[in-house]
Amino acid sequence: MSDELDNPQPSFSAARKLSAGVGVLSAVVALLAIVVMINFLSARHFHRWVLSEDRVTSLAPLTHQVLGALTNELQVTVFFDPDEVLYSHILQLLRQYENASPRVKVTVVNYLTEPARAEEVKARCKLGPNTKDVVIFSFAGNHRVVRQTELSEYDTSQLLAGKSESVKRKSFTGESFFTAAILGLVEARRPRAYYLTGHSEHDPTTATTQTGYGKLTMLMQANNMDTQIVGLGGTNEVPADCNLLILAGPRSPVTQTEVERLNRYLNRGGRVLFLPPPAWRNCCACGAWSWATTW
Amino acid sequence: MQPFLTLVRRELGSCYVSIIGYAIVAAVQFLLGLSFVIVLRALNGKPFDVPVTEAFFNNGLFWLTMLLAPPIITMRAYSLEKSSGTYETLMTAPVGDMQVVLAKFTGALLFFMSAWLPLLAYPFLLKRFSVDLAQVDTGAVGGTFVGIFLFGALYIALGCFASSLTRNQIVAAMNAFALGLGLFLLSYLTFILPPKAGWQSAVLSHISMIEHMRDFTRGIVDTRQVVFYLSLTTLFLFLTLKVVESRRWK
Repeated sequence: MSDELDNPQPSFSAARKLSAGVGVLSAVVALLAIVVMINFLSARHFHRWVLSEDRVTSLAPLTHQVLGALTNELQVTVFFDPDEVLYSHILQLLRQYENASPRVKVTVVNYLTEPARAEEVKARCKLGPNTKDVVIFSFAGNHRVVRQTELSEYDTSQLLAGKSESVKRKSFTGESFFTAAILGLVEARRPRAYYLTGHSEHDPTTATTQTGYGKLTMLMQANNMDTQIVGLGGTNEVPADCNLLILAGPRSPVTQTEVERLNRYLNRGGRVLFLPPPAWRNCCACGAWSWATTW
Repeated sequence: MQPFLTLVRRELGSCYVSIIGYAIVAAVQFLLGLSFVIVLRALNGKPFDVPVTEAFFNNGLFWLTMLLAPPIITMRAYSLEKSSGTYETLMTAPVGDMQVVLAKFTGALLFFMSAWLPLLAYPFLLKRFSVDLAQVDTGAVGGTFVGIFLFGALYIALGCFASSLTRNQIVAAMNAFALGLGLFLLSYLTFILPPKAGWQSAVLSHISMIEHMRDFTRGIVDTRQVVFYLSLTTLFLFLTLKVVESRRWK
């Protein structure tokens, strides 16, 4: 009895302490696993709220539409020297693409410090031996390459005026080219636009004059559209593969036969982009634009 | 609920009554003021192509404040009680361990957020005394405070955990700072290592606090980041609870 008072038994034996410790450790490991799983699920299913009124970081609705329609993984390889001026802009933009779609995966290959990976990328994407500073989009085994030189708009006015010897970069056009590259990979067929000719329309191949529509053509081609020229004279109908018919500033009237051919095209679901010149009533002098009144 | 609120009031009272609380607030205001001066000088130099909130928070002084303040706020949470002998009194009071843990966390977090409140005035001051005609981007300011709250919650929880492990306040502060700095430095890896295909890059991108704060300062609230901070806060609070409960079976 006195021995028990002098040396009291511990309230917890070593075995009980061990079991309590194991229980705590198990609980911690279980919670850690739950935390990891929750974060894994949240990384795959997420939503971003944009509270800012400026919305300076938003992608265009077309880009969201294209990224939302992705069914497989889109691999983007930034084959760049990190010291290049546009590198950070490109990475920032591609990070927005990643945030907009979980199917976009971005990889960076520094061809200066990673020659082995660089050669592997060149072989896989069939790039030239001297290729550098490009962004490669890969989807379902196909590749599209966007070069750094395409990603900027330059202001040449000072150079042309002889006031400066350098050309300044006006804007970064990465989003339009990246989205066009993705469109080109995702769409099975390139939409085709036809320019109507035969009525003194503006030249769609000329970009340098004030009246040329070459810039529109380049923009459409950059967005994965094929452009052709068509005339409705003789027995020509609007081609069956025409997705968009462009009337680029016609200055002479169309004939009744051409109007009927245009009506047939529209009645089968065709689309027309009509860019009327300032004196457009002259080209309607024959009064035969029956579809124009319902437009 | 009443014991919880009483404990929260007790914690807040201990922060505001002691000189340390006011020293922390003064230090935070000093660092934020320095950051404001840096942004003003930069704005005088050339136009900004990023939101002002991002420029304000995307510098070293901001991160210094975020990393230093929570360990100093939380170092007293448990260590002071253990060293002064009031810990046993608290634990034998008719309150649950969970209530004690949550109350100390809530009190410290409220104090941390109150130190950042004067920051709300800065965008309006900038707008008032500048020629910028645009309205203050309240979305970006709101997003920024959401980021500060989430970040603060994680680091306060981490600080509470470190404080519960020791009787020495300095050791608690150092442990909390070391853990917090380690977590923060992981996010720097996303800048050092280029993105590569694979889970390692995805994990680094997911935990990059610098990227998180960049989104918050632009007014973007991403559920991934919210889940990240809340889940880790819960984890550290759970660990703190287990440490507090361990006194029963040690």
